[in-house]
Amino acid sequence: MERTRRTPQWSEACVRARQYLAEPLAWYPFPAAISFFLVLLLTAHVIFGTTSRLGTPSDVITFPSESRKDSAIWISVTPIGKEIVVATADRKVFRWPLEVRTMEPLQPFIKYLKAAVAKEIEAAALQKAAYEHQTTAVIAADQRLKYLHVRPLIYAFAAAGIADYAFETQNPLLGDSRP
Amino acid sequence: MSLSTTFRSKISRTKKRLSEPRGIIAVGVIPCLGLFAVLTFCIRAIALSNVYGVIPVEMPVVSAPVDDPAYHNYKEEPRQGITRFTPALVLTTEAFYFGDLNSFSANLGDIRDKYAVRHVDGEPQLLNLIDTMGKWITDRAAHDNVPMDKLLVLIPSGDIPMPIVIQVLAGLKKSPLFEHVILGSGII
Repeated sequence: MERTRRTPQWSEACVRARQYLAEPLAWYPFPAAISFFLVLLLTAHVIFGTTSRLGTPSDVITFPSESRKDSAIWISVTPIGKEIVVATADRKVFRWPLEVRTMEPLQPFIKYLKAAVAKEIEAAALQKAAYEHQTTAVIAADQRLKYLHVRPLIYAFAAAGIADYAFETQNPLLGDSRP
Repeated sequence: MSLSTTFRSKISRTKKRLSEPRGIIAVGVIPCLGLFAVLTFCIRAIALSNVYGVIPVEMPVVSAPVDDPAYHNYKEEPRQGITRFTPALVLTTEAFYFGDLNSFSANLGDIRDKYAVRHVDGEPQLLNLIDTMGKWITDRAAHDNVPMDKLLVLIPSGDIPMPIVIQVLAGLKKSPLFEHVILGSGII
């Protein structure tokens, strides 16, 4: 008896649900898509934060050398097309022609280097401690580069007041990795 | 056909069009592509070697000591200085040329004060160079009383690939002859 009383209500509910579900729901992928892309963005930040070498196309030479952890200014240098592309550890990119003749195209890079050195000196002053190689610039030079392409960088270091710089190498994983 | 009938017809067509599962493929494919991108970066981050090192180079600076009136009264003094007798090494695609810095500046045209170690099949003979330079530096110190500063000015020509420059730098710094190597430019 009770079953027969419920049936019309149940049927109505089913009909309503069917009508509701038959409506085109154009919005339904968006909350999922927004969540997905937020997670994607966060993951990308986390992954790229692990190492500054990720995302820079510089392919450095494999050669045993001394490891040094306290150098704060790291740049990767790669020839792309007819340009030298310099990417820094904080994801700033500078470009100039392969065969640069004047220092004018390097001025933004020199400005960046000066700011980086000032920042390191300020940090050392606030910490009351300085690392030996804190203002040493480390160049991750791509293997395709020639000395001609690296020469402007040395001029830029001189203009920015950086007296110590170094070339980065990847230590071999197998065999003797001592410098 | 009345206006309301036209609207109803349009609404009906739109409803029908929107209710078709047209975007379902894109909804499936785009997250998959994103996921693949993330996984690719993850794999790259894991595969990147963490074992990196550096080969240090130096740049000459002008000594300009600042007076320290504080208690410790620190005084800056230059460790070494570049003189006309500082060894200079020029690296070209054919050979190493070495001599005094004077021989590559004031006496550039004089062929008697420079020495060459030629590459064999395009391969720089670094060990041979270090041996020859060692003998030259020792001989020069004994006969001409030139101090054995462990300082070298390396001048590669512009067309030398960077891997060769880096390996030559590393080899020179590893040798007992030199502690400080300065990269120069401008002669060639």
